Amino acid sequence: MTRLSISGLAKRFDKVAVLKGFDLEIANGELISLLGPSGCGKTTTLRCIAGFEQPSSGRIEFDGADVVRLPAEKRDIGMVFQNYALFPHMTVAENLAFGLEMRKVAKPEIERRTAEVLKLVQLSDLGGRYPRQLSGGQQQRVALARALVIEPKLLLLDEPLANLDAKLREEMRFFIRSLQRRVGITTVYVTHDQAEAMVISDRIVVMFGGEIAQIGSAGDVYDRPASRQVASFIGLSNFIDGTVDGMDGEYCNVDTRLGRMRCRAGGAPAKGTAASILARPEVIVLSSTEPQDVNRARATVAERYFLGNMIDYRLDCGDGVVMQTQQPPHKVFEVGASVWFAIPAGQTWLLAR
Amino acid sequence: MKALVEVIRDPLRFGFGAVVIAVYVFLLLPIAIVVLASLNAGEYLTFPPQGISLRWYGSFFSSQPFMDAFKLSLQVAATSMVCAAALGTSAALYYVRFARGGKEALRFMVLAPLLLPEILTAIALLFFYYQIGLGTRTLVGLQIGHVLITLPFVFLSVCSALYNINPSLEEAARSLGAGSWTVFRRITLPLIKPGVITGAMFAFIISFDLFSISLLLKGIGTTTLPIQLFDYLRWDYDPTAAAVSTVSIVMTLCVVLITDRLVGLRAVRF
Ligand SMILES: Nc1ncnc2c1ncn2[C@@H]1O[C@H](COP(=O)(O)OP(=O)(O)OP(=O)(O)O)[C@@H](O)[C@H]1O
Ligand SMILES: [Mg+2]
Repeated sequence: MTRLSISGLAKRFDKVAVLKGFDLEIANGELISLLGPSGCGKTTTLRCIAGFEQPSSGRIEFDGADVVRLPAEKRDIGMVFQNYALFPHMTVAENLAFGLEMRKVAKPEIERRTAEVLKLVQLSDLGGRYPRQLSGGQQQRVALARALVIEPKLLLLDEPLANLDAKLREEMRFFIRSLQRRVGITTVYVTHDQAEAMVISDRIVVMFGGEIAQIGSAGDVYDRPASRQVASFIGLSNFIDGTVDGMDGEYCNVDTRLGRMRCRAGGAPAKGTAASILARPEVIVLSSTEPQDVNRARATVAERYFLGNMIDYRLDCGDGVVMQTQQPPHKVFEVGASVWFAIPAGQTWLLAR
Repeated sequence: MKALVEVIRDPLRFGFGAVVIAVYVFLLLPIAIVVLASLNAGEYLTFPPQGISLRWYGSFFSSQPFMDAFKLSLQVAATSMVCAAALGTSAALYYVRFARGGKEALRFMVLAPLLLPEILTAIALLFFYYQIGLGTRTLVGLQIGHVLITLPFVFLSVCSALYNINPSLEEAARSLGAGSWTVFRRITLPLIKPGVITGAMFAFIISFDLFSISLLLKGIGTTTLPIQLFDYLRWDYDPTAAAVSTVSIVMTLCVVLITDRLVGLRAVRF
């Protein structure tokens, strides 16, 4: 069980800065995910931690001991690869035994631990099979078992569910999460699927272009994003541009093209600051009569899509402002209808523009 | 429209099939004739044979020059196979995994004997051996020539095996605690084994069959089977030659079958 701390981690590939020197502390037993768009440096970060890439500068410490000079095989890390990387010429049991053999564990002990971990991933009967005789989900669990059986200091997973179908992916999320809780291992989980990151992690690290944009819980990054970029990467969002008029208690008054709005804010922005209000589509309330809310405006229903559990509307608010909102399916508004919409101030968030 | 396509395609398919069969017949018929001729009971290398007998096989196996040449060929081919397998695999590993600068030059150097006419390589080696005083008194020069010619076959087949290995496999092994030698022995080598075996078998067959190199680089008094056969055919025209050829053909076939068994079985596992 290990505390991982990264400081000033930078990596350049032939002059191109891929990681731009960031700090990250991961507590003992914590599961954090690295979430970000393709090419933002998630895999590179993971490979630096694993020892497959040499950082250009910065420190990586396991429990305070710098491991940057340590080769991958000495770092005692369990890694799960996107394509699983199971050894095709070995059976499941042999795959699991490999890491233990490297640690000179005695034969009976290897058998005991292999069987134990196979049980943990619910594959007890499949020890004698070759990887190609397993389904994708089973291979995934073998890869997980192989990484865990050595009882590593750290578990690293690089998009471990990317090759599974949607349903299995959902199941495996919960499986990995509960397994990680039970084993209590410090884990770094790379994904570009925000729903996966939200379900699985204690904290999410949102990365853009080799830098950390925000670190926080699922609630933090969704409800209180650090920037417009984070807000638009995670979930759907409407941005209403305006100018700060001043603080009113813990709320901030903002003048927008839809009129004056009240809005939650992280700090106390100065009067006259250009800002955007974040309103998630599901917090907006549509009605045919005028609501009591402070933040309200009129709009015309421009488009409507049935999503099954929701109805998705595009509202034309005039002045070129278009809003997206999702409403429960029992409230139906026709395209072309004139409606009111309200944005509860407690569910908005002010962002710098 | 669909029917029309069928009509056009069918003659095409038929024509293609006919060409393939014709090519096979053209290639295989001489072999069949040689095999039949070797069973000839008559005195001369004629076709069709006059009666069936194994007497020419007896004459081959009891002929001292032929048996010496046969043994030497086997020995040279086996040595070439082992050396080419070891060197070719190392070269391929270096080329695919480690080479940075001069990568293409290395590749060209290894493959050059394959691209140049064999006789040119042979002449060049002959001059070179006399220059450095190695000469052709011993079999060393001949053996080096054979390794040179057979090396590209191992190199190419191991390279393609290496390119087909998923690089994460080796990283996975490292993360599990395996050092580079263990990774090679436990992961890389088993995965490229089919490539090594295929290349090695090729090396054996090619070396066994090599003519120009052997002709120029063999010492006086020693000779390999193809050259002995050539010499024999200059003076004698009896079916012993056919028997020798048949034995060679059977041996080549055996090597191919062994390869197929070894590699074929492995291939099913991947
Ligand atoms: N070996 C390399 N040589 C040169 N550039 C590289 C190398 N590996 C990665 N890069 C570059 O570094 C950047 C980050 O790559 P990385 O694989 O870390 O992205 P990622 O966040 O994992 O993306 P994805 O979600 O697509 O996997 C990319 O622009 C990539 O082109
Ligand atoms: Mg990646």
